Amino acid sequence: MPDLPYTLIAELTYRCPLRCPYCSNPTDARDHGPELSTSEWQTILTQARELGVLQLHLTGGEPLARKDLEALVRHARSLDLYVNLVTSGVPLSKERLAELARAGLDNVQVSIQSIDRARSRAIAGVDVFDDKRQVLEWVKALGLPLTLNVVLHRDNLDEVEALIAYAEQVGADRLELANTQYLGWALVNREALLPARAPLIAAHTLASKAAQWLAGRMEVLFVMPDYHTRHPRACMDGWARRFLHIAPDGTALPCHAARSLPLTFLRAPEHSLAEIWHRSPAFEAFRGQAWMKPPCRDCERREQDFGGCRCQAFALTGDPAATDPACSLSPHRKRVTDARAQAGEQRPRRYLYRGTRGPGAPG
Amino acid sequence: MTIEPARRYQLADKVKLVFDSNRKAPMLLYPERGLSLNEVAAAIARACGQPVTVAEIARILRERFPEASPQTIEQDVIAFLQELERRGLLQSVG
Ligand code: SF4
Ligand code: SF4
Repeated sequence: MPDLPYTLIAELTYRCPLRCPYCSNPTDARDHGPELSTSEWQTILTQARELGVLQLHLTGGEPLARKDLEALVRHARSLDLYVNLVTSGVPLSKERLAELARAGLDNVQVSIQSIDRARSRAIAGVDVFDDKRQVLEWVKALGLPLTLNVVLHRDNLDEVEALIAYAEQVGADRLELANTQYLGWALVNREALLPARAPLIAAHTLASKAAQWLAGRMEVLFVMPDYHTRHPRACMDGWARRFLHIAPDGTALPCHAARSLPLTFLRAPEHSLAEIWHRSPAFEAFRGQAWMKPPCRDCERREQDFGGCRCQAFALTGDPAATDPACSLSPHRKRVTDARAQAGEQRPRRYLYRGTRGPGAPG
Repeated sequence: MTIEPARRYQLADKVKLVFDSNRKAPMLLYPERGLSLNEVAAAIARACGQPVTVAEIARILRERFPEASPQTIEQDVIAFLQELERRGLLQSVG
């Protein structure tokens, strides 16, 4: 019997007014099916709770783009799920946020791009700096716990100290300084985003110190990019072990990027979540260790990191069962070290914004 | 942050204590993860629903678990509060 899923990540829509070049949405998002209806999402939430899920992340794209967000929050609350809204904060009014709070939000996670207006605009592709600042004030005024999230890359890594001060100023309960994961749009933009080692280490040191002195007041989390670590991260705590991810069209996945893998994923609520979780071949595919190849198969770390990220293994080696090249023991490690060597070079780089013409993304 | 006897502590705002019927265990829920609790930990977490000192929590636990030694109880309380603190689930409220 597999473990019970603990977290449901409901990607309500791929629509978003921002165009971040590291967006985790698929690069071919436009080719996917229509979004689920309100009642389909409600069925999914109910089934998820029955299956063991206790925690819900409402995300996207931008979940605020769904007019039925309040109804979904209310439904989740009635099921006693812990509800976290993951948002860019745009577009939002104070009234709507108050309504969402009444509907039952337990936590709000707002992402910002930079503490500098011009930079923020250059990264998000639109000018939403002031809107976000406003939203942060409303979240605190309504007494909601606030997680401030910043995706780090070479064009904002030097802001870590200022970001910590900013997070304190806006009263964040938690600050997540998470380096880009190089999948999807971020892989397309890797050359422009991947930082060199020295600034990364400097930023990490600053964040670790801040985490210590702020303990008990504000949490500070710093996530290294796996391109610069010796071992891969334990992606999703292991394939289909704790997380269940539903894409806007109902496709059920073990993680947001899994759609890129050569597997057949079923759609909810057409197929029940119990069937998908317990009996679908795609969810079984990388559970346990039987699928592993050397060097993972005989490695003592295999129960800690599960061989790393399947999507990264596939994207960089063409084999979804390969050792994640973020691991220093991977025979394909060169894919990562070459990219890293390039990151040290100084030359002009341009973003390919999400949603603009690019690989697999017409228009 | 070390746990100090004179200070009052409370669960962080984002933390919710629930009983999970699927896993048949009390759980602490927060945005990043969930923490499955044993009976003692759940009693401590419940006590931290409002600002309390270590001594106050220990008193509540002594009533609940009269057979346990007061010394063990106090050690358990401090150890669990430290665990919560390490995960960012505890706030110090003066
Ligand atoms: S990463 Fe940026 S573009 Fe992608 S969904 Fe989030 S805010 Fe929108
Ligand atoms: S060889 Fe595989 S299991 Fe071992 S550290 Fe690398 S990725 Fe992890």
